[in-house]
Amino acid sequence: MSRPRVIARLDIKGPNLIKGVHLEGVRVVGDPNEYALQYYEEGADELLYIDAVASLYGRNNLTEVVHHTTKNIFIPLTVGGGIRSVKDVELLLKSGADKVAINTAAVQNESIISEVSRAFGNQCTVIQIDAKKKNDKTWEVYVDGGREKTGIDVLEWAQTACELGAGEILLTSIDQEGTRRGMDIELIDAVAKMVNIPVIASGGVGKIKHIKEAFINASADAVAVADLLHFKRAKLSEIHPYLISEGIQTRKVLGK
Amino acid sequence: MTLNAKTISILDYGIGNLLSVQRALDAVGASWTMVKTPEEVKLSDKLILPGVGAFMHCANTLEAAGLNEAIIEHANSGKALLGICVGMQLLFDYGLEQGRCDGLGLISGYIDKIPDQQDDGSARKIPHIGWSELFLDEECPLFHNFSHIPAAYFVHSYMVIPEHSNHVIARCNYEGADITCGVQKENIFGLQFHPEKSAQAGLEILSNFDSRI
Repeated sequence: MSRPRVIARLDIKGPNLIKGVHLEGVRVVGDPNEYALQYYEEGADELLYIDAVASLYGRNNLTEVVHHTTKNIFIPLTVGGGIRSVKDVELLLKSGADKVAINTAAVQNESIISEVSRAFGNQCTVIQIDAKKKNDKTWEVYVDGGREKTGIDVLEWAQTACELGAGEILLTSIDQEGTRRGMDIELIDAVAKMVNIPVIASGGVGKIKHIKEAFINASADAVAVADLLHFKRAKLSEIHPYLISEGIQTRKVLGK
Repeated sequence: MTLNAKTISILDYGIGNLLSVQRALDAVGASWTMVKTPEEVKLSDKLILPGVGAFMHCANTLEAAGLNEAIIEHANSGKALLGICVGMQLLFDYGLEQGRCDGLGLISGYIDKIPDQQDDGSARKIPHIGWSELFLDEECPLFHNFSHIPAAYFVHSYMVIPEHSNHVIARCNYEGADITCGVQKENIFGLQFHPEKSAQAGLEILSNFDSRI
């Protein structure tokens, strides 16, 4: 099988790597390029860049950061935040991104999913879903960096995105994001069972064992980790061996 | 214009993440140049044929640029050719993505969808995205002196079905599907995965393409 992936997530604001709680209340962590290079060298399976405030201002400023980062990093990079058109996608791919994550624009105009998928392939079309729990077994889609509710049901939206040509879903739990209290296992499991494309689970990893839970108790295909790595509470070089020892066959990485 | 015999030519026909390939070649100290026209292809020594997205789109774009003949001539002259991802698929007779479409016909076989059901009837997630372990023909010079545990990064929904098993140099197993992910016919090589995105293992393959072929 394809190995469960551990993805380093870097939320970017301007030139800085930041980290928030519930996608808000941001704190500057440092230079994204330094962190990205370190995560590559320590064995991240992929990198994920999200421009945290892009959609609020209707812009995308990531192309330069992406162009700079990909110089010495040889793993896949997904970039999201503020993507509104096929042209935006093209610019990011030309700057070195391999996949793009689309959130707000897709909710406002579903056809962008099929347009991007047709132009560049479904393998590079990631739909980013920011989900907030409504009640048991029901979650609502939020846009604009987790600030605006849409009234759309997460499971229905995941299914629609899949039918329109999404190749992957990046699923963030707003409730858990930045809390370090573990992932929303029920949410991840419900979405992963609903769609037949890979699901990247994000939000809430505070301990290495939370990553394990997303793979074992929910059927995540990949887990995005931010806080745990940024504040150096765990290294990727210890995460992989731990997961393997727990029977999760992630990519074996040789130490540098 | 003449190209240095040590230089790898990367074919730019408007498709593929060429920046990543360039940077990976830089990282292993290989010299490269971009080529666009049939004339430039003819002057090339080693040629990389990239490709991403749908087979038909890549094949049509290549043909519209009038590049098919130059690539076939390059391959027939015995000079090294490496197809990456859809670039590998284009080496074969035809593809079935979005309808039947001819490839370059350099290696016998065709391209078909990865079955979306496993043998036990359960669903197989398509596309195949992520890292899969490689089962390699260690005698192939591309895999010379491999120091790493060989796993590579894949993103694809279609796979090659080669007619002759002796052309297969690498396989992977994706949820029970046996996928041919590396082929060689004499001087013609193809890789389904992305060496430029496969960390150290991928860089070693590109380094071998530069120095051992």
